[in-house]
Amino acid sequence: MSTSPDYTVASELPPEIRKHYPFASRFMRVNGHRMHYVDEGEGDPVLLLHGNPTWSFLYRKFIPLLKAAGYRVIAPDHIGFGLSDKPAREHDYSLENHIANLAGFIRRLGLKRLTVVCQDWGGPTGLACALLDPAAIKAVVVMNTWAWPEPTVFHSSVFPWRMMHAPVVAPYLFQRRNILVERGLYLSVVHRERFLAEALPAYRFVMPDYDSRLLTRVFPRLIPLQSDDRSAATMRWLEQSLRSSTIPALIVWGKEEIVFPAECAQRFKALLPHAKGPLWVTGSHFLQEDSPEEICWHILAFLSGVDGRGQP
Amino acid sequence: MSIEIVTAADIRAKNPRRVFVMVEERLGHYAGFREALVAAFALTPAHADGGPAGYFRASSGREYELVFVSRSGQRFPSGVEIHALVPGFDAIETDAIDEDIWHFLEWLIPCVGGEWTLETLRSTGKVYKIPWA
Repeated sequence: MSTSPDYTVASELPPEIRKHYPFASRFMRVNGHRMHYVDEGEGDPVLLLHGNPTWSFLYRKFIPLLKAAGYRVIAPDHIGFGLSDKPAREHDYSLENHIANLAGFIRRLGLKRLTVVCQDWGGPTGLACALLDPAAIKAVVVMNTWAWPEPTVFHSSVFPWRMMHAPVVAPYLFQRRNILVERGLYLSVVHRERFLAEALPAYRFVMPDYDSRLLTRVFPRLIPLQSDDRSAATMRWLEQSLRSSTIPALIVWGKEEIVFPAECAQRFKALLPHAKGPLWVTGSHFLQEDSPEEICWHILAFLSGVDGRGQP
Repeated sequence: MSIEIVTAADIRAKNPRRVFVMVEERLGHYAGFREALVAAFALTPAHADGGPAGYFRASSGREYELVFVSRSGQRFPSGVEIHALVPGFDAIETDAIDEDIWHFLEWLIPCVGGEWTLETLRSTGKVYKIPWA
C-alpha cells in the first residue's frame, strides 16, 4: 500500500493531462531538492522557463515544435512548482535561491550553446543564469517579464496586487483559495475557453492543497517595490549586467499583456539595443497559452539568424 | 458579519482540538499588519517568551486561536498561525472555516487602515471569486 504524499503521487499524471504533455518526466536533485524537467530532442539546447503559478506544462506546444526543428528542448519546473519538490517554509524561498537552483541545474546538465527562453519569473532567474556564464549562452528570448528593481504600475497598486500578497491576506487567498490557479490564470489568457478545457486541469492538478501552493504567494512578495526590498540588489545587478551584455536577444511580447505592459518590452530594447524585436503576438500574461506556434516561429527564425542558417 | 476578540477564559469549546488553518510567516511584509495585531491583542515583547495566544470567535460561533511567532532578527510578532478550535472529534468544514477567516480579514483590514481599505479587500475578493466578498 502506498503512503506517498499527494504531490509525489502527482508525478504520475493522469491520462487527460498526459495527452497534452506526452513527455518523459525526469528528475534531478539540485541544492537538496528534487527538480522535475523535460528533456527532448537533440541539438543545441533551448531552455524554456516558466513563472508563477505555472510549470513546464506551459510549454507543452513549444516542445515538439522546437524539437522537430532540430533543437534539444529542456523545460524544468522551478523548485516549488509543478512536479518539483515544494519546500514548505516561506523562508526557504528567495530570488537568489531560485537563481542558484537554476544555475545548478544548468551546470549539472553541462549545457553549452544554450538559448534561454523566459517569461515572468523565468526572466530574472534565467537571465541571471545567462549572465553568470555568458560563454555557455547562444541567445536569450525574453517574453512578458522584467529585469530591474522598479515595479510596474500593476505591481505597485494596492488593488488588486498588493492586497493579494498582504500579510495574513496572502495565505488565505493564495493557499486556502488558490486564486492564481483558479482565477488568475483564466484572467491572464486571451483564449479562455480553450484554456479552461485544455490547460486549467493541469495547473490545478499539481497544486492540490494548501502546502503545495506556498510559492504562489511567496513570489509576489519577492518583487521589489522599494530600493531596500530583499530582491532589489539582485535586480539592480541584473539590470546593470544586461546593459553591458552582447548576448543575442529576441524580445517577444503579448499585445494584451497588462502585468508587464509594453513599456517593459521597450525597456528591454533599451537595455539590449542589439535585440531583435519587440515582436508583438496575441497574448495576455501567459502568452505561451495564447500563441505558441507563432512564438515558436519567431524563435526559430531568430535562432536561424544567430546560427547563420537563414530563415527556417 | 464580524469577529469578536475573546480571552482564553471566554472560549466556549471544551477541550478543543487545534486544527491548523494557515500561517503568515512574514507579518512584517507590510509593517502595519503587525502593528494592527499588536494593538488588537495588546502584545508586548514579553509575549514572545511563553505569553498567551490570541483568540477570536466568528459570528458562526466557531472559535480560533492565533499563535504569535517570534523570529530572530525581526520584531515580535514576526508571524502568526491561525488554528480552528474544534470540539472533540468533530469534522471540520473547509468552506465554513474559509468564510470565518474571510470575516477575520474584513475585521483586520480596517485595523491596519491607511491605504488598506475594506473596499479594496472586497473588490479583490470579488475579482478572485471569493464567495463572501
